[in-house]
Amino acid sequence: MLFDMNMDDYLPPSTSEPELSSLSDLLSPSSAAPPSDQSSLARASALLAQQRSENAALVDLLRSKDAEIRALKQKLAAALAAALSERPATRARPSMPAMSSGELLGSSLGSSPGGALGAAPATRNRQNTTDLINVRLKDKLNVYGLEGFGVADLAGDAAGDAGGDAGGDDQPIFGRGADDAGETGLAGRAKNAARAKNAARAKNAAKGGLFDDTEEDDVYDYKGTGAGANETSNSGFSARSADPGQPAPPAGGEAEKSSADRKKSEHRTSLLAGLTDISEADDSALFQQSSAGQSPSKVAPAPAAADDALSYKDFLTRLMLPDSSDIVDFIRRFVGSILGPNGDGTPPAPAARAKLDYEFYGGREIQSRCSGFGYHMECTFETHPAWKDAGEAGLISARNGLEKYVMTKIADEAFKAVVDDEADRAITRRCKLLSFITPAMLDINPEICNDTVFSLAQDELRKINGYRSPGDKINCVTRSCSLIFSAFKFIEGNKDKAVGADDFLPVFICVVLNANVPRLASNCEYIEAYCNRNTMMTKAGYCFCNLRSAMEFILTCDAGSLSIEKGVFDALLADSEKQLKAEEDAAAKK
Amino acid sequence: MRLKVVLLGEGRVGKTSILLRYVRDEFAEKQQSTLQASYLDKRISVGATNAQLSVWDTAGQERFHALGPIYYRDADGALLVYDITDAESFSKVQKWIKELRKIVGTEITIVIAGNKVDLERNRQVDEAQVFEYCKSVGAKHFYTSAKQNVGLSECFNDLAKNMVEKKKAKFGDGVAGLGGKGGKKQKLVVLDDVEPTAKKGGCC
Repeated sequence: MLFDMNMDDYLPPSTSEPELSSLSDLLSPSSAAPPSDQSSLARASALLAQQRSENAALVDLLRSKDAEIRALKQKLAAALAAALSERPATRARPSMPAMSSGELLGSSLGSSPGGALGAAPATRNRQNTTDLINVRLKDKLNVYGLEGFGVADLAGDAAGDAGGDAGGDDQPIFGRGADDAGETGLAGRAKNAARAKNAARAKNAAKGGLFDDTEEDDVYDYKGTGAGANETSNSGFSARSADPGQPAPPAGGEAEKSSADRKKSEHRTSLLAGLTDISEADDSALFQQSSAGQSPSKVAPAPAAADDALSYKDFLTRLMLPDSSDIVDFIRRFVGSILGPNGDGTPPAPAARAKLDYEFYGGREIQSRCSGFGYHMECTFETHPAWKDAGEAGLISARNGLEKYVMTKIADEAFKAVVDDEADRAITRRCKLLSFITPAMLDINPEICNDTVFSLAQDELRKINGYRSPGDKINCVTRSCSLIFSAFKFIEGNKDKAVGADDFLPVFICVVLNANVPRLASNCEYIEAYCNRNTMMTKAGYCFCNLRSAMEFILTCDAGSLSIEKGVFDALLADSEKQLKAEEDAAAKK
Repeated sequence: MRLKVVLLGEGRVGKTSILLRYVRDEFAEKQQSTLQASYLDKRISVGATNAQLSVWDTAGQERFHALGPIYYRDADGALLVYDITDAESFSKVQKWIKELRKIVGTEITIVIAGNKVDLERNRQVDEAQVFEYCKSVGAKHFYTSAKQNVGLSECFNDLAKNMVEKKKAKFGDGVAGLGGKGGKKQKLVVLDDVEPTAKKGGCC
């Protein structure tokens, strides 16, 4: 689903930081009811009343559409609930996970005891519905040519920037509605963007991105003027730079205070703390920013990352400076050689081909070309006058930032080259088949078998399909592992005991097994093919290696590798097989 | 230069304690995040070369034995740990070495550590037999005690020294920078193909 995304998703995102925080306000328990929904509907109906006197026929049409939307809303809410219960926090764009790990916890803290994990999806559920409804409302109106009456504007305003988001963000969540949502969202987004108050962003979003061929003028334009460059890069990239390592919004802190179940909340907060802790102490290569003061958790100040490490945003800002223009141009041509002038991987028309300053390759040899490009750029950064003094951490940031930027753009083509449907099916089926495996069969310490930990770790893993760049994908794996490691801290009397692979791997196997992430094998191939070799040597690489071995274990394990009698294992397996067969047959009949 | 070291050994021989003791002792003051001890980084100087050791712990239970190659496939070194009070743990080491040689050949530097020397009185593994075996497979042997911090830095230093030498012999001295890019130079040709008409973006 994700990889069917339209070019619009390559655009600099339409949310910027302030909007992110307002979105997070909406998600916080104190304002659970989405006001934008009500106000937009109220304003819409007010406007409807006004229009009624002028054009009765039009109003009738509107009303029928309104009813249709209401029905859709209900249907969607149901679908959403189902989809969310299945995979609660999958998100398409990097902007969301910035909140999800933190906010998932933040909002769950405020909920009644016991409903801990349910609360966050529910809240978001509402928000998503609001967004989608607004986008749909707007889109429907657009379809019927009513945009000029201003109703669409209202919906657009209410949906605001969230509307722009809906297309990209909600896509993976909506499951079957996704294509539709994507379509409307994107349509809405273009229009939204055109009306956005931020002119620079509108320009960027409406036109198709930095290194897009058709936009060469744009590129040179802001490279030439310093002020313009800053404006564009700040507004255009701020949201995309929001990375998973960022802390939860302040809302989480308040929620904690109001929580009735203090102990549980503390447990979760410290879990989060552990997670942040680990990821922050982790190498700067993963762009984990330490940001004291914002996090609600009681994290001991993490050792500051090396001074010269750059966040993704800083990297892009720096890349946009005039002295890196040759690098930018080179990147543009490389991306162009894969996506072509149409930006979707289709070959250029013969007439257009002559005008290009690069040769079109499309998906051909994409793997070797990507690694060659990565290596070439690494050398370039090391000796380039604007970058050679960036320091080791700075160069690593540049390498990873570039990988993220380029791979986010070309992910569709790159994924096509490595996708392995058969392996995906095999692992998915095997996970279902072995769902009878309990932690006890892997001799896991029962004290670590905490549902919260398991489900959080599984959620992190499931997010892998919501990201496009290999670095972001591998970060999902790292966060999942980090969560498990930090969970060991909470075992009574285990505070100072080291957690080694002996303890960790069985738990992680359980998590992978139960998460049953769609397209897991293809995602691994993708990471392996496009992730920088050096990243594979770091902690992220270690976690990825554990994922690989967990998958291998799942694919190959038998009674001998589990603490279970062979007879019992065989019986359980046969049972499971029978059940799965029945399900598959039922699905085939449908 | 980045070096990957894999810790292999049966469960409960003290792999994790070794790792933690070795890396933690140096950083006792500003101990990093974590109780986690399955992956740790450590900077180390070998002569004039600064190397960064990434030490990867592996699960030692028998049921995970077959997963070993996933971890050590591209490792520069392997530290095989056995418990001197547990004869079986040493035969497991022999099994690992056989596999390592089969899958990664002699590219990988192997060091064997006999852990828990503080429990010498309970020794079950015959010293002469161990030394003879280590000689026959070309692996160095060290006695260690994670508990009393015996022999650990010697063990890792020797491992690092051998890995650095091997890497330098393979790629030349030029790998000392960000590391890991030796042997990839021919890839640049591909790039020149890509951009035949374009001006170069940078140095190369």
